[in-house]
Amino acid sequence: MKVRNLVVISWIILVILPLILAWNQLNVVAERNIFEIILDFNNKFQTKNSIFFTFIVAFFSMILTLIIGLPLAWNLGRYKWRYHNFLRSIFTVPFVMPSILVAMGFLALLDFLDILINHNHSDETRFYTLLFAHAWFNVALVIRFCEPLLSTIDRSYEEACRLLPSGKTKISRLRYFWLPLMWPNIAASSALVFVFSFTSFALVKFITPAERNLEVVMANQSEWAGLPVPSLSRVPSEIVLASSTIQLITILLALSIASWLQSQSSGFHLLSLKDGRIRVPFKSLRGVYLLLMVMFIVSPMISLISSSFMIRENGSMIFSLQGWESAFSGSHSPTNAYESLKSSVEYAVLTVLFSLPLGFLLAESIFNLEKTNPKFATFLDVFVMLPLALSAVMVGLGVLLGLMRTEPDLARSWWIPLYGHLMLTTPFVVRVLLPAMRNLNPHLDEAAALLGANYLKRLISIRLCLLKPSIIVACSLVFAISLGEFGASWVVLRFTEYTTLPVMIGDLLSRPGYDPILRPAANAAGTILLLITLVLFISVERFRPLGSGGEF
Amino acid sequence: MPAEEKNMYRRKALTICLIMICSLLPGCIEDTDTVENDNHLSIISYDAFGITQEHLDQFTNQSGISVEITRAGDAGGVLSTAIQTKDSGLFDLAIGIDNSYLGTALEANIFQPLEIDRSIFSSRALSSYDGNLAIPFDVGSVCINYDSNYVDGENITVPTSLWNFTEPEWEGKFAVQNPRTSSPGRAFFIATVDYFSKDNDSQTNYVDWWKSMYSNNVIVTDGWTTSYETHYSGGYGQWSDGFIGDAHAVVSYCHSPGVEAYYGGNWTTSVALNIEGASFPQIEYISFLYGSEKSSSANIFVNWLVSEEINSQMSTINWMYPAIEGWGIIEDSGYRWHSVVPIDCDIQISQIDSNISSWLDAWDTAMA
Amino acid sequence: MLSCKKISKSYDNLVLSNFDLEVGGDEIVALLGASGSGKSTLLRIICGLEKSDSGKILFNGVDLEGLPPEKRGIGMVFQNLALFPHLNVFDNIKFGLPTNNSIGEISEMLELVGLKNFDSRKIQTLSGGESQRVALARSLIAKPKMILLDEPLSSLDSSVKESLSLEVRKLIKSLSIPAIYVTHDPRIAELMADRIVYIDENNSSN
Repeated sequence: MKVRNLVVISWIILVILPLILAWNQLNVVAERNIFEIILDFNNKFQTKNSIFFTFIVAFFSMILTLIIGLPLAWNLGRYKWRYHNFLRSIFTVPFVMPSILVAMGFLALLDFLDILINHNHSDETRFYTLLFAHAWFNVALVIRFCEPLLSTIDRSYEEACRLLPSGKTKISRLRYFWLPLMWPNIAASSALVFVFSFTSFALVKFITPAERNLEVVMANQSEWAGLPVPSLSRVPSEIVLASSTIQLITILLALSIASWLQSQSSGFHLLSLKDGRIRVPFKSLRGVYLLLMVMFIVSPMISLISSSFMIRENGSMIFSLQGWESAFSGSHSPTNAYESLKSSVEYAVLTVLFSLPLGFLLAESIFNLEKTNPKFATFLDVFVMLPLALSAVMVGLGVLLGLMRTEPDLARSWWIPLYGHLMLTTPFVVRVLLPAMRNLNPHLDEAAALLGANYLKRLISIRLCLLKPSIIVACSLVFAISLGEFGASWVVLRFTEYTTLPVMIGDLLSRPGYDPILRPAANAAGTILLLITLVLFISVERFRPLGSGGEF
Repeated sequence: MPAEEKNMYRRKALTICLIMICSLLPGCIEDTDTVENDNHLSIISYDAFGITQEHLDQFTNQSGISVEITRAGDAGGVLSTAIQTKDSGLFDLAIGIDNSYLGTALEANIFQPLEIDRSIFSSRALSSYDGNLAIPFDVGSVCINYDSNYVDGENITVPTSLWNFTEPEWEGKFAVQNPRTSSPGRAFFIATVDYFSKDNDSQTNYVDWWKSMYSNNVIVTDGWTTSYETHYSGGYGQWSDGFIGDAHAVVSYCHSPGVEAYYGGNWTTSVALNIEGASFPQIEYISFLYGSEKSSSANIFVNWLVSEEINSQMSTINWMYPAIEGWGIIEDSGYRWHSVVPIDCDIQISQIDSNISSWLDAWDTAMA
Repeated sequence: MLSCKKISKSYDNLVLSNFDLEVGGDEIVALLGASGSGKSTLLRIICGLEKSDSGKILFNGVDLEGLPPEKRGIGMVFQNLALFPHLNVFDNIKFGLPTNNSIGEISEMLELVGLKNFDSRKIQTLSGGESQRVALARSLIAKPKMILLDEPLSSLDSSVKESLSLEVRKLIKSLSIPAIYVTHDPRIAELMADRIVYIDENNSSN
């Protein structure tokens, strides 16, 4: 019990401290208050339209994601397909793909479509592309939130509904049976989609370069924000202060709603342990729809892979392995793909080793508090998700710059990037384990206690054993997210010795592309990352028990 | 609990601890000796710096000094990091602070003197600063490039003044970079400040021009890559993902067409526009940071960087002109032929340092 | 001997009100009452899974206040049996085996409950009656000082319930320990118990 309290307090400090450090620094340099700055946003180039654009993109991305994701979740949840686990992993792997690679993939697709329909790029096209890219990323959330419930609802409930006056038509069943059942899950997933679209960075930067959302605005200003050079840092500091405030308040609201909705949604009493899904062949209308969705998901990946084999030479694009050779030899980057992958794996393993116990203890704390102090449980639940809401810029400023002012040597510590990975992945561990804990029969733990088992024995012999499938899912998710995380988003400085694969890709893409090898080399490194993540997700999918594994 | 069960739990706990410790050990055993001794240099640089690991290994073999380069964004990022870590000794050298930032850097007192023979440098390299706190290693002029496929005198006339870009034929066809987020953008912006302060029209200044550019739908991007690769019709971007090609002129370097030709088999449609005073003479420096005690190694590295062996190759290592006298862009593949050395603006680094903040504020307002 | 004195408990509504109960040395008491009358709550309070708002519980003269469930030496068979789904029959029962005892006792217990050769069976493959016997075996092998049964037969057919009730009574009696059996079926209460206690609509004993 005391260890849990310590973990909760440590987490709160770890999350709050960078924020306080960053805000403190920004306030020292800023001359105006937050309201004045916000009111001036549309009068300055750096921030013009950014608030409106951020909200519009987040809102419409959420709508589009639901439009695409709900039918997918339905078809995966109510019907059993051949290669079902493989399909599920395909639809959920986008969530952990490095966004910069996805942006490249979508732009390549756009080029292809432009050729097909003889259409020129316009700002409007780019806007819709951005929405689809967000939907591509976040459809996994809708599936993970809704599919488990759909797949384990006892068919007898729906059958009973069909025989009653209010359930005779599909629309009426949707209205009176499915929506009341599913709305917490749908709304919770919507809130999270909104959050991730709100804080989207690489997709906005590359797909809609003419526009800026708040995250792009802050990243642009991060160089000078908070620094003791007022002539250069006043404006950036004010912009980051105001933008991060808007972002934090909005995200906190959305996360609170998501958390509250999730706690409403334990359909334990309606669940059946049997697989109630109907087998459907691919040679059906549903099958065609599913295959089209598979194509939607894999097409940016395919364009990324294929572009790693193309290089421009003498005015045309030809097939070449030079990009792959460069990636593996490191001829155009500070490290090569082997070393970067090794760094990535090392960080991913460390992240799993730290975030899993941390997330488990946090989830247990929330779970126990739900019985004794539900309000604090909700607060803690939101707090656990907070790192996802914090701007990477704010955390980077607080942690790194705060450290560089007091203990500069710590800035080059190997655990600084790990901190960022932990902050990003631990919330997902909680999101996987907490619903699984809620779905455990509470009498099992009580029975073990009455048989004389102390807390440790009950934890190891009962709870961890029963949670094993969810723990495996959490491990794979943490590993994949850590593997694909741009360390640079959390660490302002990129030390060669800690260069991970995504950072190596970022390095290659940040250089002027005169040299034709640079882009295919980046795409080759990206392909390695993509394939490892795919293999990981597919192989772990079989551990996901029917209907459980919660929201991720 | 029977003894065998106790042992089982103990074994499990021990295994878990061992795994955690073993995984932490490699990271915990930091090679602090390497970091702190005089035979290791820690350098902070901008992302696009072209020196490769091969070059660095060559230096290490020659000198016995190992080098680690840390990337920090662009020139502004290098400066901001150097200011933040002042006195800490975290980094020994800073690469990439250019003369548009140098005034601020000198004001912040973050450099220590280097012992380099300055007679080896060209007058162009020493034009902004010739002291020993910042040593130039490459130069290049930031100016406008245009696509001769479109700007051919018939479809669109070749501009002879910056005001030409405010005319209807250029509406939405010129791409520039945000001066707050891009080094070339910042350089070009400073050039416009100077250009309009010295032109024949005393009624207007750079703010008026930028307002007119805004009205003429100038494309403003946050970085050079987006404006050049995505928008510019005359560069390599036509083979890049997401290419739009709606800009027939872009702010880049006056030798960018040369680089295009070098990779394009001595062929390019991109041309550097030489409007007197409308280009900025960017000079990039390497400096020895305050707080470092590795004066000897730092001098060895800087001397290596500006040696004939290395610096003469700057046009292919870093896509800039060498800083040392007697060397220029290589001739291969039309690189030199397609590059232009313009008549740059003439503005003091102290003037930039004193006024840049208000200039940028005015730009922000003009462009909204 | 168990002595419950003036046990009260409420959640949003009053569940138990000044409830008194005494159970003798090897007595089986059936606790009978309607749904929601507080029967299960009382059992949970006795074995320490919940705390009462007021009142005292003494077992053999010792006040159980503050003692955690694992230290009370009281066994319980839950309504849903709470068999560990990831363990087989043998391992489920072994979980209840006191540490100094030999594993051979498990086979003996299985034989006692009529489940010889069921060691390696998975829980999910057992019938309702078989599951109930495993749950009972698990609780009894722990050699509790008292056993509580919370409607463990509620999901079974009436014919199976009756025969199983008699078997359960026989088993408990053979251990000479007090037991409380919660049910809402008066017939089962009569078969099982030495004495029947009613919880009335006022949530107090009768």
